[in-house]
Amino acid sequence: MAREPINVAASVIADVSAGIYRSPAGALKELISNAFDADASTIRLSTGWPEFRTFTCTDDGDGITPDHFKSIMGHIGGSTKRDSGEVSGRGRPLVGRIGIGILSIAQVCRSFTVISSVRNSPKKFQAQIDLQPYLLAEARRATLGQSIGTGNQKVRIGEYEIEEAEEEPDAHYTRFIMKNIDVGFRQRLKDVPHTRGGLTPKQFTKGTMLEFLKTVEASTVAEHGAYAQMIWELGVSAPVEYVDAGPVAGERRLDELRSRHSAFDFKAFVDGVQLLKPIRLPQPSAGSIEHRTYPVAHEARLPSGRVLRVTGYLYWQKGRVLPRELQGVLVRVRNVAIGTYDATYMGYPHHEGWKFSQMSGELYVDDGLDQAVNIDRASFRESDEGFIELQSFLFEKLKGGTDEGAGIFTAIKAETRKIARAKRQVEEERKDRLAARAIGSHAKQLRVVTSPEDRPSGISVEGGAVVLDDGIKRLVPRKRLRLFAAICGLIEQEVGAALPRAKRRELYERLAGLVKDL
Amino acid sequence: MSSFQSIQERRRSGRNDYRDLKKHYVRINGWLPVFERHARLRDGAVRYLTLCSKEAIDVRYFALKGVLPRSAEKNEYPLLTFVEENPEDYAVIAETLGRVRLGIQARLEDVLLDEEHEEHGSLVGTFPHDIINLDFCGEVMPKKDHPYSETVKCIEKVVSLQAEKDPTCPWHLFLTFRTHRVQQNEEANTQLREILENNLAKEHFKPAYGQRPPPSQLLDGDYPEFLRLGICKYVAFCAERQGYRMTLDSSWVYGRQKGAYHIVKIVAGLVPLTRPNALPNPALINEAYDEAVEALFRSTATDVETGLGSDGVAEAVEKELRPVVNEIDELNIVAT
Repeated sequence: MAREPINVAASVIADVSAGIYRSPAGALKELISNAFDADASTIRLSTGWPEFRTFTCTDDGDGITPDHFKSIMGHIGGSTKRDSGEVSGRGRPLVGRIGIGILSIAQVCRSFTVISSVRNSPKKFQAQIDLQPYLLAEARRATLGQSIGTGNQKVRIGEYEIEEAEEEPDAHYTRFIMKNIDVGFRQRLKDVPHTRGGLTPKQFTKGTMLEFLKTVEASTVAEHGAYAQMIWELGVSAPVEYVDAGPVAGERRLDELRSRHSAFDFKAFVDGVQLLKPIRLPQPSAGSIEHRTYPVAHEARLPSGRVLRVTGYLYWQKGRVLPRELQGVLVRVRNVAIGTYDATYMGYPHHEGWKFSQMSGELYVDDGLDQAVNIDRASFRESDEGFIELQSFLFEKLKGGTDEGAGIFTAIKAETRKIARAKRQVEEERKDRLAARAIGSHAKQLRVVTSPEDRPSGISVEGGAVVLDDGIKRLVPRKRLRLFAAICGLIEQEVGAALPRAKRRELYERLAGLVKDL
Repeated sequence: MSSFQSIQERRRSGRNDYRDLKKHYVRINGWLPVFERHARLRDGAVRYLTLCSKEAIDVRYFALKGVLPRSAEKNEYPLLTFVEENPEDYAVIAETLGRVRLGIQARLEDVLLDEEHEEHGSLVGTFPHDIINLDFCGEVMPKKDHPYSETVKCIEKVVSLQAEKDPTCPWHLFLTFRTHRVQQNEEANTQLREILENNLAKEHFKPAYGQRPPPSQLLDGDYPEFLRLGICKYVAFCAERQGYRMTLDSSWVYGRQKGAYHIVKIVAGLVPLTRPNALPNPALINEAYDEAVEALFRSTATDVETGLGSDGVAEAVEKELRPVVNEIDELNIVAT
């Protein structure tokens, strides 16, 4: 039987080149990752706020030679970045794998300029790139394997012109200049939510990342508009340090997470604001809220031989985690977030009600999950063995056994009960104090004592305690006993002498019937 | 040499310009007092439009002096508008200044004069400004253009926009231009000379003009002074047409490349002549123009090199510039 070839339409590639990222931050995040891989100390992005007409980005990384650039542009998606190892010259775990980061710009604009210089070279180059979708219609009819444009086995998605000029030998940087920003991209960033509903839009407070966090941590980031959301997503996803006291205030067990970022020595600025991970739990506005941190770590050999290595934490607090965007679990692959916080906890199958809104967490996957990351770097291929293993590990942590003896949800339930009990006790003590004072007792609290010996009136106040004989006590439901004792104690103390004992007993019995039926 | 190469050549040769004491001498003595005045008038909220170079020294310096609003984190200049033609320099400015009121990557002349330009509306929307600093980094009437060059039209447009947006707002114009005879349009020189000669035909201007050689000799003998008078007169003319009185606060001159050419800096105040909602008074406006020209003829440019040569002045200027240089060095701006 003859074997027939299976072809893929070239438009698949053309579609991919037109933009695959969910949000503005998704596209810009790739530029930050590229700078990180290039061992940059600093990357600065400018969005041209508030008009968003020109985007620029400059990093002080290794830079690219013209030949390397030509090679990248000639083989988009054929990255050789990891051929010589999994870490950069400065020992950073490399983020890029496929080599399509440059296409992230296609979502921002269709033509842009790259200028770069490498250390120890007296030259720099400028490339004007034009990613025109004009081949899209043609590509729909073509299949990979046929010749399209100038290349065999390739799809032409644009053109570029390259020029060289003199440069200082010690200069090293890469700069992107993006003009004619996509109309939709601009509109998205300029969008202020709620204006259509007649509500007052919330203003994004300018300043440091900490100021930004203070602005949004009372509710949601989204209600501050797409620009605020972009800053948020970039801060959350980039391999930069946490804001002060992040991710969980005073939690020494998370020092490793903090120190790994400071060791990278990588700074990113967007419109002059230094990006920091805007994660600070519990949020200061919550005061001294009860909270628990559950550090997690896991290592497993997968069926294919790959090893999955995870470290991180899960966090719970008695009350909602805010801003809402922090609710869920964030998975970082090689220190860069994949998408945003996942409020489903990787598809956790059980209903856990309010608890999900009280939780947050980060899982740093240092090995074994690269293959599961979809090309938009915002989601996972859920059938990947690494993903399945990570999912199982998370579910186990949440529901099943943990190092602490029970699943986190079980621990949360126990914790919640304990807190509720303690709260109830405090409340009861307060009521007892009030009751004791009302009765005129010298006791600091109401004490209820029962006696097998009959009291003529059924109740007496003795030495600061309200004593009920068994006959009366039997008439009162347990949960109403303290209230009943307080009222009767007050009557006994204040008007006891004015009424005969039998009359009082009758009164108390009627009162017992009343509180029972309430 | 391609345009990219020539731009890079210029950028490289200008790498040490940011430490230039001559420029800073004018910032301190010519520009800062004007900023201080506007800061007092507007309670610090000075609206500033500048063609700053990639180091944005003027912006940083005035912010450091507390006369240009800047956030405590130094990442926002809420009342600053800048325009930069070179994309790389634009990137450096935008990335290191942070958020500004508006930043435009384009040639100012293109944005202002072409109403179809995509940035035209945004830029016009920022007017009026309290101080507009136009450093054209070249000739005002270059050889390749008409005498009524785009740069000249741009000055006129700026004055008209200021008047259109708020005719009651007094403001200042800082102009910087190169006086390189061989690069200048000769036809423009001839026209400027004729205009000056026409002025001097009026008896009352002669005493103010003083002992200067006649315009034809001034053109050949002291070109910077010739152009200073010519351009200032043009600004006064634009001011008059829009109902302003121009006052020349100060003007400055210094040599470049061992005197091969000069840089002239003008600090001009534009004060509205007409009260709000009052009819324009032509007599008052004409009188104001004559006064402005007379004052201009009486004025002399300060020789920056002489000023810097005085005892301790260069050291004092260097000391004043140092915090700005430190900020620029910290940001690693110059290397890129």
